[in-house]
Amino acid sequence: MLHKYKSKIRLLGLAVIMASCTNNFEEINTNPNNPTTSTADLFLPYGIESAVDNYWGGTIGMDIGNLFSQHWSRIQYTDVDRYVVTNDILASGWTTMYNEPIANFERVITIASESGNKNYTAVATIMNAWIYQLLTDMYGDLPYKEGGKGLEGILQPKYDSQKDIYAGILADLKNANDMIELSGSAISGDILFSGNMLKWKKFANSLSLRILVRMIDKGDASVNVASEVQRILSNPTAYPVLTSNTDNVQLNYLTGTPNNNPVENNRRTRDDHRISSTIVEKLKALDDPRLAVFADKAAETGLYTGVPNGLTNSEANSLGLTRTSKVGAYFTSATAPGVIMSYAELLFIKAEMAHKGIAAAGNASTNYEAAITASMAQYGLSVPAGYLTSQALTSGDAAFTKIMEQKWIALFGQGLEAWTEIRRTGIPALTPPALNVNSNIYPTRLAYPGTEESLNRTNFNSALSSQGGQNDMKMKLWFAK
Amino acid sequence: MEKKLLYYFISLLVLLGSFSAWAQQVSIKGKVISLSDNTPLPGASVTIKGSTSGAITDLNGEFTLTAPKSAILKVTFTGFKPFETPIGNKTFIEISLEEDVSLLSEVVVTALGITREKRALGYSVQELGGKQITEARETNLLNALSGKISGVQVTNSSGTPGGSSRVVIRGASSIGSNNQPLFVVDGVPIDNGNYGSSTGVDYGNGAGAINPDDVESINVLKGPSAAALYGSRGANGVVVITTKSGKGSKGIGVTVNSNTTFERPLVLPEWQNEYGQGAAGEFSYVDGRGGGVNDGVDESWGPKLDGRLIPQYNSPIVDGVRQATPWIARPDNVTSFFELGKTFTNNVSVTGGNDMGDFRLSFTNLDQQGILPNTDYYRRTVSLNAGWNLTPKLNIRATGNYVLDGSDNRQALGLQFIWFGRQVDVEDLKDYYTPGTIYHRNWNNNYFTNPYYQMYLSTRENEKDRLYGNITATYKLTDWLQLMARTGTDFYEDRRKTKNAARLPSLGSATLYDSYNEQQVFVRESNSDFLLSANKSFGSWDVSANVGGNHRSNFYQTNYMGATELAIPRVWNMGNSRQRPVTTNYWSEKVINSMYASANFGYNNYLFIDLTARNDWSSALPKGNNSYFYPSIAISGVLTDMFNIKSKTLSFAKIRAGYALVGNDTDAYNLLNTFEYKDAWGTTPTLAEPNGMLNAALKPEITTSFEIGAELRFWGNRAGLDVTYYSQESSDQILNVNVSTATGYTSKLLNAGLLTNKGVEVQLSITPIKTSSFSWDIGLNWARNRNKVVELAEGLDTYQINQGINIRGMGVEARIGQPYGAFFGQGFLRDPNGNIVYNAQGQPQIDPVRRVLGNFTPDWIGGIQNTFTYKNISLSTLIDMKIGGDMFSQSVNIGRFTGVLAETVYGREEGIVGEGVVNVGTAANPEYVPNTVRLRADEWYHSYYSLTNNENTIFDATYVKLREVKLTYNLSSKVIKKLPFKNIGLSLVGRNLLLLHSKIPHVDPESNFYNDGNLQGIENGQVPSTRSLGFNVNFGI
Repeated sequence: MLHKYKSKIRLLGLAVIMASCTNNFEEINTNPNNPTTSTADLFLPYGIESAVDNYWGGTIGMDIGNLFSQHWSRIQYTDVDRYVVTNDILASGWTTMYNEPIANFERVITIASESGNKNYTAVATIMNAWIYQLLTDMYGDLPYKEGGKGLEGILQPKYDSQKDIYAGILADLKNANDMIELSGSAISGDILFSGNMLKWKKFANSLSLRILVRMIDKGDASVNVASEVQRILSNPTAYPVLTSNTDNVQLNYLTGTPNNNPVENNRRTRDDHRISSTIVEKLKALDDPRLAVFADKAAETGLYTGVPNGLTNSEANSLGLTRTSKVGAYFTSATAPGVIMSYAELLFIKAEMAHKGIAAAGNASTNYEAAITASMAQYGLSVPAGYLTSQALTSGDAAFTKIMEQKWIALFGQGLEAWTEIRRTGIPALTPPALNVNSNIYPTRLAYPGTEESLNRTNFNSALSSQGGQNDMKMKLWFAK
Repeated sequence: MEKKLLYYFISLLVLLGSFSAWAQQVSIKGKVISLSDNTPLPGASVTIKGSTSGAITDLNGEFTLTAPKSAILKVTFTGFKPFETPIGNKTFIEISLEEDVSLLSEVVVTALGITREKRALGYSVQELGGKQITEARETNLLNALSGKISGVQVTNSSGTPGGSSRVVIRGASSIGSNNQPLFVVDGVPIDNGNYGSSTGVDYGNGAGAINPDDVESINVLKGPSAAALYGSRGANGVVVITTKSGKGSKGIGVTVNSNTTFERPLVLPEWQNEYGQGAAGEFSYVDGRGGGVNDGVDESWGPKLDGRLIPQYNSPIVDGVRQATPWIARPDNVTSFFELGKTFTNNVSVTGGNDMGDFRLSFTNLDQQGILPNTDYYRRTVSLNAGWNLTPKLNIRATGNYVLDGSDNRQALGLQFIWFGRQVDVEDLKDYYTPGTIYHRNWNNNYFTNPYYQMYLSTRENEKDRLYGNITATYKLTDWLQLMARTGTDFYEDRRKTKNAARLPSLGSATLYDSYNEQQVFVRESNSDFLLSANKSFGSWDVSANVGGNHRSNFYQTNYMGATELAIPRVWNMGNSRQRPVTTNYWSEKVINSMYASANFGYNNYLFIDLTARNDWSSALPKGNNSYFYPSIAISGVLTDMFNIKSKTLSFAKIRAGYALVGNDTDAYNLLNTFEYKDAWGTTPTLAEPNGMLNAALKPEITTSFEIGAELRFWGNRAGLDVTYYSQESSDQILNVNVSTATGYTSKLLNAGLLTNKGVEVQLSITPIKTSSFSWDIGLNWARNRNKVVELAEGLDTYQINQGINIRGMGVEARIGQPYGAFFGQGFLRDPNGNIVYNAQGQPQIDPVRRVLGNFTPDWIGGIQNTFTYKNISLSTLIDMKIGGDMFSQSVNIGRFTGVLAETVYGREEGIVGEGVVNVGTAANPEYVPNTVRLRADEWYHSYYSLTNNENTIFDATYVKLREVKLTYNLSSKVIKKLPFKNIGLSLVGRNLLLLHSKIPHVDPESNFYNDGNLQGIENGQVPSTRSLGFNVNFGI
């Protein structure tokens, strides 16, 4: 009888052992596949590349930017060229920017605040400033102060007005410029400037000028544009800006996948884009040598033939893939740079500022001609004889139109910036394609993605009501009002 | 909830009180008759319960004996259900015995492999015998459950050989995690994963590969009450599978089963054959990518197929000029692409046994050829089940199943024939090489690859070695106490190869090089457990109690290597990569320790109380918070015995009630965020922030369930009714909640939300006719489940099930107030009267405000099984239905967009005026007048069936299917005696024979593109489901 109880006692003992065997659970549940701690330099490459990839390639750069600006057009899958913008496209601009670069630069800022290397903080701040500028240019009001703060528990971030975002970015850029220690701790993982902190300063201040030109006609801007321009341009030591094409802010892509230019990567499997007839006609009218860089001759005809924007698939198809001009090889090579900001653009900004009476920006005509020269030089071209004379600035609105048309040409490839400037100034006056689905209105913005409507509804609704419009591509943004 | 329980419990106790007993010896006479026909039963045994004294009935069925008044008489007779009755004051007792038609004294296998009498259970279980799944068989065992068990919804994903099936019992209990039941084979859980099958290739689900020939029975523990002993795995029910053994066999026996079936697509779209490829009625081929007239278009809006002469892709080229050839209809061009599917299954098993032990050894070979060219599936299974009594007290049993299965190609074609030129001669495409190249030749060079080239060269292969089984030792400590110890495992390695042949080096879609990847998936689940069981009677009470523990570990590993460009064509090896191959690997491990106990009290074999308790400690949960307790209680009473009801009408009545709390645990590594690896920038290494935020305070999902039921039998089993009502609440849902991406992240893992399921399950069996040679049996089952998403995380009113998967911009969601699986997307803009609003160009407008357009959860499901038996011939049919629930069909919508479907002939010549209104007022003050603008047909179809309008893509997926017809002939024993066989059976079998009713044209409303995951109701050109016809032969020696 007794031995039976013994076996029971043994069983009970076994039970207790099994239940308490949880000591190694934490070890078992430690993810062996990925790191949990790291250093700031490892997050910079992906942060920079994902931002430039999305901005330059992808559907945001290639379709929204380059099609809306009528630099490019589509010959296959033409929907987006008729302003049929699916929710996926809306989401890709928004989500990719917030989830990839912004989240990674927030991580860099967190790590840098622990390690104390302020140069990392400055770089991440400048990159985020540029990305928020792109985002608000596309969408309007959006989460900026509370953006990218998910780890702090902010799951439904409030929207800031575009006016406040521009002012905030401007302040961020000044802080970042001031924070940079040229002889301070080195940074690595910087695939944009290889750790050259002076170039980061130049980028920060040039970007500040881009933001300032957005506000130039806005009476309700919360900063004094003239004095901010004065602050920057009158003190090149403290606030250096781009001074030549070698300063161009651009990501120089590498030859092989996955570090190749995203346009080239797209061309490996797709051939849906052509150069737009709008810019082809303009360049032909100007007898502009940049045409040969922006476009390739059509394979079959040997001519520069643009494709009109917004055809139906079958109309586009009937033009023939071999009888129309592809986007120039300069832009479709693996190592083609992804340009964030060029020296030429800075000069056009100064030209506009000067034209609008900001003394610190210098002379409008000088800046304008230097800008055209720089734009051609960017592609290894020299300005043809007589070009500057025939295109010389006159005065008043006609002069402004010339500045903006030349800027539109110089921004080829930087479609998003070109689209923003067209919306801001109405120059050049582009006609929406006949079959557009936006009630013949040139797209004023991108609609917020469906995820915001469903996941951040209160803030989404109040942003729309404070901007006074619907979630469509017809509501004017602050800079264009 | 608890109050209700208490109420039922007290009611039962009051009933008990009315039976009292006192000891006084009386002489009693009686007669034992058959309930069904009142004939006397001679030779029945009448004993006094708890003693050895008793009597045997005489030729008239009569008996006499002496017993205390308090005694209970127990009457048993072979072939009849045992019967007990108290003597009381009676001096003559007529006892009507009910024929034992299995169910009532049926012993069923319940949780942890514990066998119980079905009458003693306080919850709903339903069983399926092995024969029901081997004659009219399916390659995937789970499909055999469809329509046969109430409340069990089976979705057969596609017609891919060896493809997966999804089983959901009583609706979805989890919003974001697993909703499929736990599968247990011979007492040990097995893996039912479907790893990496979400990419358009279906590698099958784990439980689907169980060999039907080795299955003795499948028992479905439908709800948490039945599955309570599985604790954190019990929320979705349990499918308990028992494999065949040699138990009960004397000497050596051999059985052979051979099954051959042929398959054809059940439903193919109905095509139009009047217009060919092109746009705006025009077409002429030059290069298939826009060089000719609309020759880059992969739609059928071209010229009328009237025999006119048009240059085509396969027209002869004479002196460099492509000749015009007749433009004619090819009505069979798609149908002929599909081949006759063939499935051969052969099984040989040897069984043997004596007093000391038994064994069964079985070998099964399955070879299947798919309906798509060059697709197949094979499965070879060796199964051994052997037991031996080492001593009279110690028994050892081992079961082992080795399965080798795989496919030389699981490629699917997708929407190839939906984007199509209807004039294309598919036969001609069999010649698939462009002469002198490694590239394909095709009717269009913009979008698609030659379908034969794709099927033969871009293959999806896999081969999987799997072993599952267990070893069990049972030791009888005393005649009432036994100890069982068991260890079991299920592990497999799946090796997959994905080959993508290079496609035309064209200006269009160009992939100059072959690409190739290999993936290895290694999965292991091991369980070791023990169970101490006691069974003892105390007077009127039968008590059984179990105490046990389980240690479970799960391991998963995957290794992936991919070469995006191969140097030498068609040499499929990583060494042939032009660049450094992409490699990734991942592994995970999880451990759960459990302790559990159960106690079952039976009073007079008519009142039963079950209590269970389980505690799980999970390694996947946070330290200090990783222990969860899961209890249950169930009560049942056999009213007919309790009240001694002797009615010819009501033969048996039982009521039951149960309450349970079970869980659904989380996966490993869900607590702390880690960084992701990204491609290096040149040689600069990179990391990135993940897109999802994890949660260090995670808890398991908890489901509480309450169920009541009744089981009634009438006219001695001629009719039976089993009804269950249940109500389940699943809270603390582990949700990978999508958050505003402006947070920097796409999602956060949270415990939040509440999902309820309330439903009724009914099983009805009737035998309207029963004579000595003929019988007709009807089995009917019906289940209605009302699923509702009650709460989500704070501030959220929706949760996307299709996270990361784009379905034309539509969300498949859990939305508050709706059943699980709402389709939320864009639909037509409508005026206040519901008319579609057109623009001035005559095109319908899309409402910018997204809305709920449908839901994949059905209203109810059911099945009707009819069996006619005449002597040794039987005919059975199964009709299976799903009513309600929607399907998103890309084939139908896109096929209308591209003009390939029959209905798109309408309006081709004269154009179409869309039915609806135009707003001639302003947006603020609309004024609607009828639309009168006539559009060219292709323009109208393109705008009406716009690919961004989800409304037109959604259909009611109701179906009624003739799921199974089986005609079986068993050779009569007279004939068999003259032959060297123990038995011979022949059957003609058909599965999925007819789609009797459907509200969706062109496609099977059942199938699903995303295999067996939570994302259901999506048709995206998956391999059509098949109709299968064949025969089955079995014999024993």
